[in-house]
Amino acid sequence: MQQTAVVETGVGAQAEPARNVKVSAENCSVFYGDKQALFDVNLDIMANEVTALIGPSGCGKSTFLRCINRMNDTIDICRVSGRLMLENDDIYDPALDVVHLRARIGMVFQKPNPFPTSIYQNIAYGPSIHGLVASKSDLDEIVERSLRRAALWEEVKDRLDQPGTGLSGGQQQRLCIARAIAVQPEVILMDEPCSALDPIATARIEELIDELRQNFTIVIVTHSMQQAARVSQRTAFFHLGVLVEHGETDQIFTNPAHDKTRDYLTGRFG
Amino acid sequence: MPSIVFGLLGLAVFLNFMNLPRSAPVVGGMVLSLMTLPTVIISARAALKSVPPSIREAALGLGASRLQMVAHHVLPLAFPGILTGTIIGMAQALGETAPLLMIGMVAFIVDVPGGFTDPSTVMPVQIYLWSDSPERAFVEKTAAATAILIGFLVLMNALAVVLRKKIERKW
Repeated sequence: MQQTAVVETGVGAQAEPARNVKVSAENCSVFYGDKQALFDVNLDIMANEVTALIGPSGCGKSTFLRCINRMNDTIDICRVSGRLMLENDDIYDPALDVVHLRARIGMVFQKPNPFPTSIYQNIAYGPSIHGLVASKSDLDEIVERSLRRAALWEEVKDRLDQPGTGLSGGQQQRLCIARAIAVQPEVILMDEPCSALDPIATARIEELIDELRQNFTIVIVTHSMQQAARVSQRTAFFHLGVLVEHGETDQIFTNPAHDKTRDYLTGRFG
Repeated sequence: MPSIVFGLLGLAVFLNFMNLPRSAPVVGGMVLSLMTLPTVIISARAALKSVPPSIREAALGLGASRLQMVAHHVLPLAFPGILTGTIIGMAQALGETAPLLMIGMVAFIVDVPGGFTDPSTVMPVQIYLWSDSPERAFVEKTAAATAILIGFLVLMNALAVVLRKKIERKW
C-alpha cells in the first residue's frame, strides 16, 4: 500500500516504519448532488493511533469521517467515488453489509445523543442487536466493562436504571463513547466530540481518548488545534475539500510542508 | 373539507359502485375512517418528524438496520403523538352526523342490529331525530343520549391522556 504523506505536492513522503494501516482512502471524492465536497483524498489511518482531522468549517473533514462508516448513505443526494478500505474489505462494496460495517466502525457524534432510555439500556442496546451476548450476566459484564473503560462507572454505578439523558453533558458524551465501545468496534470515529463540553469535561474525554488508543483506532474531527496537538499522533489538514497535508502531528505543527497549513495553524485564516 | 363531501363519496363509491347495503354500520365506519384519516396522518407525520435526527444517527451509528432504528427508537418516541392524533380523529368521528345522513343511517330502526350489514343508526343522528320529536318522553331520551355521547368522549380523551403519560419518555 502506498504511503502518500502529502497529496498535492508530493513532498515529505518519507519511509514510514512498518505499521498497520487500518483504514485507507484512495482518490476518495464525495459529491452532494452536483457539488463536489471532497476532492481525491488519499489518506492512510494507522491502527492504534489517534488521527486528527483539522481544517476550517466546511472543508470536508466531517464529510470524510462520515464516509468511513457510510453514514453518508443516509443522505440521498450524496455520492462517493474512489476507494475506501477497512483492512482488506472495500467499505463501498455493494455486497458488504452496512450493519456489520457499522459494528466494526463505531461513531461518536458532536452533540451527545444518548437514547432516552436508562443508562444500562443505552449501553446494552448495541451488543443485544448484534447478538454479542448470550445471557443477562454477560450483558451486565459488558455494560460494566464499557462504562469502566469510558471512565464513567464510578459516577453512575448506583443509578444504571436512570435515564441517560439526565446526566451532565460531559457524562452524556462519555456514555455515548461507552455505548460505542460496547459493540467492540475496531475503529471509533469522533465528530467534534468535545465541542459542546466545558474545558474540564473536555480534558476528561481527551484523557479517555488517549487510553482508548491502546485497543482502538481513533479518528477525531476537531476545530481545536490545541486538542489535535494534545491527543493525536497523526494530523490531516483539509481545506476546501482537499486534503492539503498529513503526517505526524509533531511535524505538522512544528514544520508544516504547506503554506496553507502554516497559515491555518498560526490563525491567519479559518 | 366539509364532512358532507365524505358522505357523498361514500354514497357514490360504497353504495352505488360497490353495492354495499344502505344504513349499514360497515359503510358508516368506512366513511368515518376516510374522514378522519387526514387528521391521523398529519399528526402521525408530525410526531415522526419530531423525533430528533440525532437519535436516528445514534441508532444507525451503532449498527442498527433501518427497520431496527424505526422499531426500537423512532416509533416508541413518536407513539404518544400518534396516539393523540388518533384520539382526536376518533373524537371527531364520534360526533359526526352529516356524512352518515348521506348513506342512509337516518332511518327509523325498529330492531337491534345483529351484524355489520344490518340497518342501524348512530348516536348523533338519533339525538337529532329525538330532539325534533314533540312528545314529552323524548326530551329525557335526548338528554340521556347526549350525556352518554359526552361521557364516551370524556372517557376516550381521559384514556388517551393516561396512556400518553404512561408511555411518554422524557429527554
